Amino acid sequence: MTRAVSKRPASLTRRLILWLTLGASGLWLCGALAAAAILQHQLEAAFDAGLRETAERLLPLAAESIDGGARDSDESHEIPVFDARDGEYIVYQVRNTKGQILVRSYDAPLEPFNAALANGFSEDDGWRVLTIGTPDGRLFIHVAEQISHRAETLFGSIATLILPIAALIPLSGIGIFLIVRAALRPLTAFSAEISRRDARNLAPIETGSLPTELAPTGAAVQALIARLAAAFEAERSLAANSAHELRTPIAGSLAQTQRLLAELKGQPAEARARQVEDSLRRLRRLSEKLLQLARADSGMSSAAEPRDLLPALRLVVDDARRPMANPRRLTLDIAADASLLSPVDVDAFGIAMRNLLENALVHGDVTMPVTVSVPADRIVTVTNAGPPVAPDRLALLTRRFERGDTRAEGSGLGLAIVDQIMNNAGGELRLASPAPGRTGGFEARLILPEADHVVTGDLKT
Amino acid sequence: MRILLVEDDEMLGGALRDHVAAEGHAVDWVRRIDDAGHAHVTVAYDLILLDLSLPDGRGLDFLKRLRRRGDTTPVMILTAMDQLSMRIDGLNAGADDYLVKPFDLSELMARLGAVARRYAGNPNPLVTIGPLDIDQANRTASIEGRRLDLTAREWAILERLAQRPGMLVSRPQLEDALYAFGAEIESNAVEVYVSRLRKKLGVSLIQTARGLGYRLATE
Repeated sequence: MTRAVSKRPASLTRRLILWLTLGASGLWLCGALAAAAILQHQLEAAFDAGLRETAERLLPLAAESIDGGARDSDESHEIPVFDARDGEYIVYQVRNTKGQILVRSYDAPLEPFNAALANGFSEDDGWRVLTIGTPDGRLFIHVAEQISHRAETLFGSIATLILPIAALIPLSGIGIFLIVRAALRPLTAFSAEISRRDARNLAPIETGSLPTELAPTGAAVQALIARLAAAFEAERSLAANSAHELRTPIAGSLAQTQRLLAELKGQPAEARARQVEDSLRRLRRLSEKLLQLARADSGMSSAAEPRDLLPALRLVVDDARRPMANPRRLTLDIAADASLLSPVDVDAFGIAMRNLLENALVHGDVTMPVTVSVPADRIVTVTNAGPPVAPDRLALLTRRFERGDTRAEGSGLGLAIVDQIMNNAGGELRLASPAPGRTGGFEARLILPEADHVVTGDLKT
Repeated sequence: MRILLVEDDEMLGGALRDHVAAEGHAVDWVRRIDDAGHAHVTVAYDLILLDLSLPDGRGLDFLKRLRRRGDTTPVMILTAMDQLSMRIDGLNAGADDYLVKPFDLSELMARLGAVARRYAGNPNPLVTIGPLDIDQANRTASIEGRRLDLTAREWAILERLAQRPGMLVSRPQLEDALYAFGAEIESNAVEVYVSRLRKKLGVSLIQTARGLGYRLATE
């Protein structure tokens, strides 16, 4: 069994900070390495120049000293040393053509350097050696410096160059983070604004403060939202206009048929006219439900601004009572201070409530009361008496064209319409049977979505 | 009652006119708002049945103009627009009732009667004056429990008188009630039908205020 792993989308901010810091550090490092290379070259040249200068100054002195010594004493003697100081950087040996060391500095090796007795640089066992001979070719001087000393000096210089960079990397990282965050703030705000847009909220996005680079995107998103809103509006208008265009001919046909019935009273054709009337009533009911469903599907359930739907609820209940032989059968109970302030479209709420009331009045026990109550903020319940609905049937009632165990006429769409409206609006329809606190009956509970923000101003009725 | 029907759909309008007239009311049927305006200026209607979508404008604007003028004629909106928001707009504009198409003619008549009674100051459809019981909802009348057989014209006169028992109803108002039964009202038509009613109800129930009109006795 494979397990889907959801990959977290990469953060643009994080990526920018990482790459900018790495890039800056890399460039600094490259710069430092190039500087080190140049420094090495310069140091080598400087050290070599130092050796040459030393050799050229020492050689005449050494020659003179050797020539004088030879005159004063005889040829064989101990090799004299010039200086007894410790820790020389530069050492030398003065040799004759036989290769014997005639003079050497204190730290110079006792054995002669393995360098040819010819002018020029050479390297010998960790030494950088410069050899210069006297013009007559009798004497040669090796001036040498340990290569490790040069390396130490070079590494010391490079370290001085690079170490501050290592300390600067975290600081530059923090700086880049702050700059990137500030620079991306309009993008973050823009992104948050877009993420708040959905079928329920297609309000225009504030694009005035967007930077030049984002302005075209902002304008495109704005245009897209406007088109989407217009498409939704067109769909709603189509549903509403279709309702108008369909209802008027049905109304005309039904009214003419009922007139015909009145005029045919007692005649054989009356029964036929009655059948036409029944068909027209069924057509009226079904078309009504299909139009409601079309409107619920068109996403008309949400309102841009929240409103208190209590006046609408009272109106729907009054409407339902009007044709009732016993209007007292339908009661409305609103808890003190309860409000139905919610961003649900008032027409969608009206459709939902009409369906719930029709359901309760027609499919329940017609001799028992139906109660509409608002027990708390944003909750409406419609309760009717009747035998309990089996749990498996209850779960199916919000499906389209699914009918309960009832003999009353119905389309099987009522609760599906309510469910669709609540889903679109971000609310919920809950069905319970038996009704809570009873042994039978049925309760439909609407849980309206909470308002993100409150706009004052109620419906007037 | 004299009713102005403003409806542009021929099929529905024709059926409504015939049905309302058959129920004993006088109906003037117009199909446009400007015609409704002219008709309303020349005739004092008891009730207006108003469609909202008309060829020359919105019925709601016509209603608002009426109310702005202080006209209190009862208005019942007949519309194919079932949105609650439009209904609320209609009621806020001053409509007395709002019926969504398609509707049953019986429901229309019940609502129409309820609105008319509400305006007459007596929302109760049952009127009892001594031995006379009038059921305005079911359009029946009885004396001491004995149901009376009234013609549509006789009912039209009785209904108008029963809207405000004890109050004087002028002869032209009664003529308006009879208007549905013929374009030409004969000059003595009101006297003829009042006379016939008196024969069925008893002479004392309908009183004559000479030169002014008639009233339904309350004692």
